Amino acid sequence: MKKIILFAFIISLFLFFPTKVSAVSYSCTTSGGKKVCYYSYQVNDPDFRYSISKVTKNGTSGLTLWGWGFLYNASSYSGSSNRYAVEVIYNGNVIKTYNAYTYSFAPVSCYHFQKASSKIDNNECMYQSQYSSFPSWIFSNNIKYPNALNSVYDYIGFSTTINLDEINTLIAAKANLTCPKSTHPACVKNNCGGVASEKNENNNNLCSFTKEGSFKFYLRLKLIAPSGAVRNSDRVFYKNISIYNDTNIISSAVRSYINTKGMTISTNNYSSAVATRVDAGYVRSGPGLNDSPIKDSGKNVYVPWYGWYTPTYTTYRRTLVASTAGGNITLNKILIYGYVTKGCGHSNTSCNDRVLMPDSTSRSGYISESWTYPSNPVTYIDTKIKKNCKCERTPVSFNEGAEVPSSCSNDAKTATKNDTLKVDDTIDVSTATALNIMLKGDNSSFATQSQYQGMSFNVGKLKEVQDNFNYSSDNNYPVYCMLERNFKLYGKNDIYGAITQGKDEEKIYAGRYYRIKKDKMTADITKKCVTNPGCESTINNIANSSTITYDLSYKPDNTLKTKMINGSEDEDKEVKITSVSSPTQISKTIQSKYEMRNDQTYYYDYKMGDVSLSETDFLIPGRNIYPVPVKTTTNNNYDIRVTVKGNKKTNGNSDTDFTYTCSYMPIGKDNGTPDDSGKKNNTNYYYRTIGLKNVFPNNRKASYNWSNANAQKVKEEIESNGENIYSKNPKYSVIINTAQMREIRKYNNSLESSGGYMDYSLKCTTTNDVRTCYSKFLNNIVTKGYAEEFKRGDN
Amino acid sequence: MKESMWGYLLIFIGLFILTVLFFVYNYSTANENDYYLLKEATEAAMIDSVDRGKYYYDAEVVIQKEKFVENFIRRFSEITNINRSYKIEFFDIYEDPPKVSVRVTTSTGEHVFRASAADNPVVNTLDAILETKN
Repeated sequence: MKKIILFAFIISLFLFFPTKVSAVSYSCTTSGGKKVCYYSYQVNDPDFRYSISKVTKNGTSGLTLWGWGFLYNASSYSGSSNRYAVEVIYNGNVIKTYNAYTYSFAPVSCYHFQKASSKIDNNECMYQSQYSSFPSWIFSNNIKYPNALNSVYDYIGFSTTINLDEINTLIAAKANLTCPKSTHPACVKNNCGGVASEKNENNNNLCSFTKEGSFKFYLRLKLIAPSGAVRNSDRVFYKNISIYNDTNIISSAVRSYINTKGMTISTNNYSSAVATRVDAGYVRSGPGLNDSPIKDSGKNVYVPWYGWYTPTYTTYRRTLVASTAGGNITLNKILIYGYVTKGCGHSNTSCNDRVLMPDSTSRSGYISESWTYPSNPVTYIDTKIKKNCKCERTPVSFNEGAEVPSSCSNDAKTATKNDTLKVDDTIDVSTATALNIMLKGDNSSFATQSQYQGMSFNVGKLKEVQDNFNYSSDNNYPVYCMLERNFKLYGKNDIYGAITQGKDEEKIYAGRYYRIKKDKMTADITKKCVTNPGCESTINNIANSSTITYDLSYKPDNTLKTKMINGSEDEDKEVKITSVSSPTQISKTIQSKYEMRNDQTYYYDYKMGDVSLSETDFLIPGRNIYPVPVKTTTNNNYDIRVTVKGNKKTNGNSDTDFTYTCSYMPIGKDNGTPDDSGKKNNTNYYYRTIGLKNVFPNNRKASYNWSNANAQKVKEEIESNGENIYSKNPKYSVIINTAQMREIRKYNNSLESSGGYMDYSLKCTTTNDVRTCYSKFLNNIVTKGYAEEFKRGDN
Repeated sequence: MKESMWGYLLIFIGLFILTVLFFVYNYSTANENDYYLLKEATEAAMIDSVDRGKYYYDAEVVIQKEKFVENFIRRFSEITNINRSYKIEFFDIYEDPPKVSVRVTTSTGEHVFRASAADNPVVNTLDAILETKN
């Protein structure tokens, strides 16, 4: 018995003290009324606490990687700017090393949290770079020192820029990709991955990749110690890196090569503080501000800002843009934190770089321990928002364009400059576009104590906005849906890449964006309840069908390059779409409010009216949108199915969050070649009859698509089976007589205006990554009188 | 009397030959006609059933078999002789690389059959692929 107890105790020790942790975590705890938040990077090497945490765009094919962390005994690394490097790893091999440039710096200001008793808490500090070239936002973290400000740990940042074109070329070479002939833009740009190829009449490379245009590669930070020892960080999956497009649009080349599955991509020039987190709701700071708010898992948002202390400063203003998902921000707490060096001014160099260190012994210019928390911070709201509105989320009718109902149970007035926020105030930011909150202290407190920096408040029940890409299995083109009261259709830029539309462009390619010229389209919405029969009754106030007028004029996010998209037809025709996490709205808001049970799925089919596409028109993209000649006729109906999956979660506080996953796909319309023959196509493939004994007789060279391993296998099967296949059971068998052929002809006629033979519907399911599709026409061919008998054999 | 019998015999033989000729002509016309319709419909259906998204994005030529079968049936019904019945069988549909084998069975005049191939006088088969231009 004793041995068992001892054994269990030893085992439990291992459970409580894990030997190795390799993770990025962010957590806050409350201790003695004081919130302590820290963000820790833990790698296997305790002396090398780095990670590649953020990626920003750099030009058209560059990605700048940023990271920061602590380095043990950083001074021993001094003298070499190349001591850090980022390695690009593909297939287990390092294919490229980019030297990273490091910035060791003294922290400019240190944020930390403290309570009114003003006890300075060690080990909590945020740092900022004093180098303007290094974006300060990446330092907007609460970082816990490995030790209590052990001076041997320095805070180091690094950055490097990797070239994606170069990486793709290297990967292409490694992946032994062949170059068939096609004018796929991604290939053309990539110059066939370095493999020589033919050129077409326009002198473009005729090549493409045989694989889907996404290659998984890893990035790893390498540190070379002065002794020569190499330390590697954990490998960072590309998919865990958020790519932020600060200024430029991601080119097609980039996105063709990066599988954005699972990635958070933002075109904002501000970002959330944590690269790898997707949190419920978000509050963002406006563009142009240096530091982004930080939100922890407890829905606390810490809004840092800083300023230089001067005797004249008395107020600081931060502008926060609330999530347009709406919801309430409950001001639970106003916690003023942060401080500047007492007595130091902006140009006062005697403060030793304005260093703020909780450890008062190692640097100068520290805050006095007599810093006190202001007892009555004064704040006011400088925007038009509803204040103190205890609005319940009541169902609204499914009306497009409907405003948020003012069904507040108490006075929902518009806040003015003179309003004062207090703890536990609720601010309804559902209609707000900006939330300006100022902290104001009186002169004396500022002059003698500190400036109030930062503010935190609880984020209330903001809706979760989820991206749920699943290109491979869903075959849906995801939209960025935000629901609660608003149900919006967004087009999301993605791996399909940017497009170029010029005057000579004749086709619209799958997966690309085109602008729909028409200002408005009429859409009929048919609501269907799919997964739970009878669930219609649970949907409140949603009309079974309603006519919604869409305004499909493009409403770009202001951080995107809008010139090309928002311009008139006379302007530059080139339309390039970036990836967005702040989505590109391509339709108006449809408002609805409903409660959804877990995993309920609803389909909303939007039937679009006729749209006549021109070269400046947008087409809602999807994998099943086929090329349409731009100057085609008006038979371009694109029915869209928006699938909304609900997920209702109730947390421990009895809060209920509704999250929705929205996906979008075009339904069954294929407006490829509008003519009937089906033969006219400007593609790179053609039809040929064969003999079953020899698919490529007379030493005929196998074409590209019959040259790969799979095709070889198929060829061998065909030739070995030969004519015997006709003695086996057919895969499909149908018997049709005269009357049935008449019915089919009637059916064909009825579809002439909607694509003719290209009007079809496939019902697809995916099981274990295998996608199986069934034709609706074939499913009903007998019941609808189109055939006497129909059999599907063993497929 | 003897001479008239010869005359009748000649007429009978002539009619018999005409009947045989007519039957053979009808059969071969139907066969040839069906073959060309089969070829045209297969080509059009194969090209229509190419997954263009996959082609334009991944440069892969892949057909969707259900779409091919539907497209073929609809096209064939549109263009063929409506006065006959057909049995259409699809063997060996490979989506990637695209290869199909189709057998169309009909008769010159009788109604739909379900018997074995031996009772189906007009049978056409076709095997075809889609290949890229090299």
